[in-house]
Amino acid sequence: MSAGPNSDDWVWVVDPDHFIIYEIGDTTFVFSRLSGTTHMLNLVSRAMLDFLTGKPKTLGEVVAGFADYLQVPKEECPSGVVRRLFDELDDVGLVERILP
Amino acid sequence: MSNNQKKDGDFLARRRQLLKLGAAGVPMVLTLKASATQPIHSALDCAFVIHNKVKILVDADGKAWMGDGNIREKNGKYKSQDIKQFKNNADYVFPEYTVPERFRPDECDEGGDSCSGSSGYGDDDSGYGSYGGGYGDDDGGDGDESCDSDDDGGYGGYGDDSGGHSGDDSGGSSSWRHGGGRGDDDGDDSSGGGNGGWTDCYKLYEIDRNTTITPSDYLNGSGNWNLNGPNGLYLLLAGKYLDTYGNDGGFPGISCLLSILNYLEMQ
Amino acid sequence: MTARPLEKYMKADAIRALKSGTLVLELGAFSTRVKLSDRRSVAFFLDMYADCLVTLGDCALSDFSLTVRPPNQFRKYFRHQVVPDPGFGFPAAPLPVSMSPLALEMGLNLSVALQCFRYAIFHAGVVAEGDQALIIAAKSGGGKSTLTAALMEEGWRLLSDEFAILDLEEASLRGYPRPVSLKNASIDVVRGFAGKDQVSETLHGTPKGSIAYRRPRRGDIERMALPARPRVIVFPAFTEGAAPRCQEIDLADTAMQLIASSPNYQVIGERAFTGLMTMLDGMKAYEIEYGSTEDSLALVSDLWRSHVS
Repeated sequence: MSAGPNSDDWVWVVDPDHFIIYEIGDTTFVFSRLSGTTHMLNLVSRAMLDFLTGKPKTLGEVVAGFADYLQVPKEECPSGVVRRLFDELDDVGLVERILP
Repeated sequence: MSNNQKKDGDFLARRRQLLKLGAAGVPMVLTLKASATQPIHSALDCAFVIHNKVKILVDADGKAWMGDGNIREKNGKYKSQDIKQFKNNADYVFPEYTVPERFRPDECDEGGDSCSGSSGYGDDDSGYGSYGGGYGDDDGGDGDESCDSDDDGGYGGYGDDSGGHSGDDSGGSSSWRHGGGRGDDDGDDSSGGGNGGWTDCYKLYEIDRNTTITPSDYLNGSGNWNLNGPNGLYLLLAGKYLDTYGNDGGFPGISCLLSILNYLEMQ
Repeated sequence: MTARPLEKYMKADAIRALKSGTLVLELGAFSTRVKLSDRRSVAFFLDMYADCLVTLGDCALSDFSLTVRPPNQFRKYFRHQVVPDPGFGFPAAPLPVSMSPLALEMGLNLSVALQCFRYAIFHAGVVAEGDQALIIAAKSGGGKSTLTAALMEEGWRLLSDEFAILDLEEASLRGYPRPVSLKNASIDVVRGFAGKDQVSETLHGTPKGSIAYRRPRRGDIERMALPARPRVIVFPAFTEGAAPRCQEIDLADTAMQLIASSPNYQVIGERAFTGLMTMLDGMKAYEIEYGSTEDSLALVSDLWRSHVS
């Protein structure tokens, strides 16, 4: 989690080695190995987690690409919503910044 | 980790519904707390965090808009232009009679309160059709232009609130608005036609970012809900949404909101 | 030194051991050294734990150590009070010495809740039929203990009234069959079907109202080492006059509630997470509402038959 506002150019990734997940229906339980905390994700936040897993992306790329990933029109997934969703995962330490 | 996107239509539809909740500011991630000394027994003891500032605008008919736009306030009145902007960009819109009277504004001092007399959001047969248009697209502004004294489109040139409407008291401008605005709006424009662009026909509630809401805090000793204040209103609106779109069980903290649903179904 | 049922010891020896802190209670997964200073808690312990295995003597090792004692020297002699002392600083409110059995039971709960890290603990009652367990999730005022006691009368084995103790390796539940705590109206209800000799004297005016305890049976003690795999979890809600109702609930919500009820989930961390998720795999969860003991038993029976049989 960053101390201040995130820049769109910063690169982020989700490292699957840093947590364990368990699905119960549409809910994903995530145990973070870094913090020892358990989180519950729904289909949307899980999708964001999956979207960021593997290939690092800038926040700008996340904002630009997430609606397509969800297969929804862009107007249903405006940038403010995507940023807020990203921030939720960032706040709980599930996404990590890759330093240059 | 399951990395495949389940592509069946039902799954995509459920996810899309949840996305709308997220757009309204409802959290998508819930962090679970365990207590060493006070085991929590009830589903109502769950809590969730509002990560970003949320504002809820309510009119006298119980219609509500949820978003984070800026609305200037002066002497208990709100800038009409800002009101319009807020409505246009609202993340979420709830139809008339959604919000109970105790959360609605008192009578407007212009004598009318039907700024939201129209439910001009197009296909809202169900009463909730406005949700689809609540993302700042063109549907958002249609129904309420009549209430906005400094609506550029309506007045064709009164771009600000510097008193250009001094002659436009509610009686005079309402007929003008009916002509120039939505035809099905028979409410008056008491939002400030004669007020230099300020209105008191609304009430604004704000929830700060990183606010924790614990639904059980709104339950009194008799087991009755006591939804008050901005947080109580937020819970009520979120519950109304779920009431319409249903609960697929996959939303974090759904038990919190389900308890609220039970309350709403009893009303 | 081999543990033997408490009642097999000479009473005087047992009392001496309790007062000197040389009695170790070997119950289920835990051993607790117990030291009591007043006659009420001693009498209660000798009665309610008569069938339980204990060791007398200095040499026995124990997981926990609990003393029920006056809060200070003054209270030993005037307006007698007691507090449970689990051996580490814990802010317990002193109770009148007449309520010392309550202090004892609270202290035993605290010892496990705050010092157990080998198993994940969740606040719930557990009964079993054979090696399959039913978890009764603790909702305040919901009737967990009355239901637990009623199911015991129906032949279910008591694993624990207070804690679901999850073995993290096997995802099964371990036994800790201590007396079942009953409150207020449920006391007479349970006395009615279990018999007066199975229920302790009632303590009146406690912070929780009137309290009494239903002793664990010999069979529960004898089989306490047998783990049980949980199959169903119920969230009971007793409402006077309510028609019986049963509603399946989402396991995700169940997991959330169990985690919230756990005193040591956070401390154990990853193993508690995987243990809990493994435990929940294949389980079913229900909310049950009822207005009588008969209805609660019928609801449980129906659920159990449909899901387990």
